[in-house]
Amino acid sequence: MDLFSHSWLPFLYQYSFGLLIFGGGLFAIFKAYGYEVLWGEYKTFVVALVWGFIYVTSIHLIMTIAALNNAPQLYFVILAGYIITGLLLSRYIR
Amino acid sequence: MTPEIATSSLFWVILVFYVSFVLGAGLFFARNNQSTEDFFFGGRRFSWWLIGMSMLATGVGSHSFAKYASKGFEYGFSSTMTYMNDWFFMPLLLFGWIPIIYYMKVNSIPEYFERRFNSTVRNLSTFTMILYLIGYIGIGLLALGSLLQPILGWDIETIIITIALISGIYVSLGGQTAIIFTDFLQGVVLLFAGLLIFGLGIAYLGGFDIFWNALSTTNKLPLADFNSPPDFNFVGVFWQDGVVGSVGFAFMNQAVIMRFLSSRSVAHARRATMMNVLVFLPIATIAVSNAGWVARAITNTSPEVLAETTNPNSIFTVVAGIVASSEAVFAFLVAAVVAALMSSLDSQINASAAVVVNDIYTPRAKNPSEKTRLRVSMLTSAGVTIIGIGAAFLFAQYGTIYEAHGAFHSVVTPPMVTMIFLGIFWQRFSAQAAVLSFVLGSVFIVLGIIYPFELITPFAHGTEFVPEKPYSYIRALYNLVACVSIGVIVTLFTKPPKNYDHIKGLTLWTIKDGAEHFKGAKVNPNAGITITVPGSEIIVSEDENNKICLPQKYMDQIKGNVGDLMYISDKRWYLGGLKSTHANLGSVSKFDGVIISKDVQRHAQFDLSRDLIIELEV
Repeated sequence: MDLFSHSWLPFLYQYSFGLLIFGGGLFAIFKAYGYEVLWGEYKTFVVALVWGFIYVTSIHLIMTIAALNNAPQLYFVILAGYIITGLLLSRYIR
Repeated sequence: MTPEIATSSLFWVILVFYVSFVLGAGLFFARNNQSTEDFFFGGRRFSWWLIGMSMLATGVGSHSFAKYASKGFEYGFSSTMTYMNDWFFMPLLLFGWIPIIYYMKVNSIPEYFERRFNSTVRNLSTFTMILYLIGYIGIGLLALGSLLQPILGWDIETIIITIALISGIYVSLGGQTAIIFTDFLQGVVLLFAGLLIFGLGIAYLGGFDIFWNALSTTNKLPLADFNSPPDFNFVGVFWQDGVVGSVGFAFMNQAVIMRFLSSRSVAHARRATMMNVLVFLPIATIAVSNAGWVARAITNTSPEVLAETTNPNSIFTVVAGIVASSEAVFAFLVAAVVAALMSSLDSQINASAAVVVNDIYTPRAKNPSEKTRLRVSMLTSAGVTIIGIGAAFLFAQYGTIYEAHGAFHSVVTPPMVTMIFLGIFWQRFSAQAAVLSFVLGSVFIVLGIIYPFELITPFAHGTEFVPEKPYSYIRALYNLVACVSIGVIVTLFTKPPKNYDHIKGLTLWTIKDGAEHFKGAKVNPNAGITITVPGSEIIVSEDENNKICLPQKYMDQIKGNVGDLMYISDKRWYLGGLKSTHANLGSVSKFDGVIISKDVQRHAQFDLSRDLIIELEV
């Protein structure tokens, strides 16, 4: 059974548009605030934004790989990512 | 098919106790409402963790349990596919929209539109906003009705009316502070209950391996098939829920806007939003959907226990009845769903009242007193609840809750989303363009409803056309393209203004002016410096102003100037800002202690035997 239209096609579609919207937004706020201000005053927020995008994308990526390869143990990777994200956000974002 | 579930008096004792607790909390916090700012925004003083969890409880309603669990039952893990798409819009939300509404003290979206464009746009958006919020109330009521029907055995109309009355009373009395605190508790309860049912379900099935192996590969894929079937396909749901729905929820949902405005600062609103999406939402995603996944696994392995023909809308309650080890656990699970409804319904009711009072009543009344506005707010809360009941009856005729909600979102949200987005991010986007993108956009939306095949098929990505429910989801893309195109074309054909002074602080490109506008004076570069003061050093003066005066030693530490904004709070973090307030810094105190006015103390209700934190803001 060809599962491409049920797995990688929607994944690529979602994260292509997602990258466009997210990247466009990031570009816009850098332009509006100015590089020095945004990176100087809100560096941790900007890093957390980029980390968040990678983290969200990786959840769907890992879930897709786990389903196609019948590998539920990969969910531990998602769990580890979740714990790290929670700790980083509560520790560093002020 | 909806199987009936038998219950005993223990079940009812637990359920009634829980609802009474929520009502009691509403009445308890009602005493803090001294103005409409308290009623709607809780005095703008709450901490990120309280706001974050409360935002989660607002977003996760009983409609979520009904919607996502039903799709989980039918299609598996892909029921959750759009839950975290909000992150795509985070840069614009955190550094565009939140500072704009917070610093410019925008109380409602229609108010923003008047200040950004003109009163015509405000009126158009007020109408849409109320429609949107009442739709949310209706969906929530219908969802809870569907979930409780197998237990109560009553007809759905009676359940809807009963729940609406209870929620309406408690919100009308309690206001935003009641909502934030009870939402926090309800958020914790619903997450715990959602995970509990997952654990019980896995145990019922005999272990995770059996659960995993009972599901097909397609059940385990996180995204749905690209363009089929018509009632649940990836591309349609992506545009309807993932794009239009996400933007609609984060940028134009008045209840969410009010959470941002209830935060003690922009930084706390940003932190709350980040934690909500990255930490709370993933758990919520599992919590609202897993009953459907467990149901699918049970149906695949034991169809005699759970039939394939079970009504998906009530799958949560049915599965809870199967896997709960005792009646007390079952009652707790049902109470959690009631909590979910209360926590989203209360927010939407309060938000609707805010729009009515701020955008309809106040502009037309002749200088109404705060007391009158507060009374109108309470009456409006009751009124919109009644209209919400009507909306629930209307949605009940649609079929599945997921599709009803999707179709509603696709039609109502795009014009507002277009106006907000272009308004914030394109300075040149004019009032004429906003009005025309709204009016002509609505015409195109109606044409899309009348001629779906001719107009929406080019956007359909190969989705099958079903005449009874044509393009439930993908029509959101058509509607969005129509509204945005009109806005862009009209703007380009309109002469640009000579300058943008009149929209200072209201767009991303003029955002630097926002903080100064909020403060009413130059921003203090020392903002963020915090000192701790023993409560014994606090002197409450008889002055009726909003001032705090510090002795020289504290003035030197905090590096503040007269007129600076200060945040004063009880040091106990777990109060989340309940005993806190904002005040202006007065002249240096002649005494050794810190002088706060009677008004500041009345608002914050400080316990003067406790330490206080004083922070220089903005």
